[in-house]
Amino acid sequence: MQRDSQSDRNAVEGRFAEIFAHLDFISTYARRRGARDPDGIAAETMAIAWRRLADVPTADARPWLIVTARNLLLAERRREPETGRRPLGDIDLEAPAEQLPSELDLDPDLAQGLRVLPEKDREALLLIAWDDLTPALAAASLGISPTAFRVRLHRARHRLSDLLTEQASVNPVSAHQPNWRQT
Amino acid sequence: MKDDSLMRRLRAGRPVAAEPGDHAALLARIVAEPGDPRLGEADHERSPRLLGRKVRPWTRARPRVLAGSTLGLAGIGAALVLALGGSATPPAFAVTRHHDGSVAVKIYRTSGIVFANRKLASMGIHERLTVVKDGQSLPQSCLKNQQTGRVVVSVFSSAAAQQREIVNGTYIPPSTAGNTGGVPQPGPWHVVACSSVVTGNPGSGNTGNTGAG
Repeated sequence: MQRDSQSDRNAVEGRFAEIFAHLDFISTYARRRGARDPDGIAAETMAIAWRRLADVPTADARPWLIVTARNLLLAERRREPETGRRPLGDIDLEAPAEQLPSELDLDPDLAQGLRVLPEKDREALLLIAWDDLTPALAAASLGISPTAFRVRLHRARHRLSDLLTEQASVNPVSAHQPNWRQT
Repeated sequence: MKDDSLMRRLRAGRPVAAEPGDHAALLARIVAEPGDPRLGEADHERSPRLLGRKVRPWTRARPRVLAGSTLGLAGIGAALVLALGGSATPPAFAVTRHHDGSVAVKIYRTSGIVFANRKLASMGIHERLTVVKDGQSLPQSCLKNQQTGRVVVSVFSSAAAQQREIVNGTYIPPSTAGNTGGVPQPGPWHVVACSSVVTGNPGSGNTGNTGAG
């Protein structure tokens, strides 16, 4: 009996180990979304996955983990509103620049385009471009069907492309240089 | 711009991934039961990435079956948060809604005007930022409904900030518009807000002297 119990225990831990292998993936996800403590969010995501192991899909745990990490990210910001970390669309320039990820190497126009994209569109783009998820997995992480996700992704690409085109027409000179002129 | 090139451009700028590490200690802390020898090892082999921050006591965690429980998906997309923008280059604009309902728009570069206008539209504020030269009268469309509210437009140079306001269709010079002490912005231009519908609370901004005598 005890042997069976130990066997079950090993099976459960083995199953969790497969999920735990995504720890770095979740840490990266949290960092790329501007988490103050991405490793902490990843660790807590795993702890939640352990406690709710039966809820974690067996096929691919990443969408479930992303949803959990996203909720933890939101909780992090609710706890620490004074840190200046705000949703990008409403970002305050008074926030110290060093609070933003320094490793980000997006050109300013592209960053601005992402900022003004609707959040759902932006996340759809980044799940593919930054997190290398398949459309099916990205759809699962957003709680929508793969078809709906493809539509959203298509729309997001066009919106961002239009924004960049519009931006290029307004400011053909490098955005790094002040280019004050009448529009 | 083709979609593929757009995605390549996005991928090129994505932040680096977390370095793979050996997180056996964290794994042990999560799954080990009291008395498990792995716990003792975990105390001595904490992952370097876990150092320097609080680690919740996960050691009592147990897998449990939550029949019928579902992961709450509500709120997805409600606050997907990003932190973008290089540390050296400030964003081209900022739109901030204050508690009193007023809206402050800050323009760091003309390249931000297009995006600021889009942001205002997405917030349901039918304001339009435009640029006029010194001595140029404001467009009539800007003057029409300015009495109903106020939008503060702050223009920033690289060295210092200078706030300028359009109140009731009148451009308030820096000397009377809550100047924050910055050097005058070079160039014979001003960013103004053309208002068709103003949702802000008239005259209750908190960004300094309104200058609207």
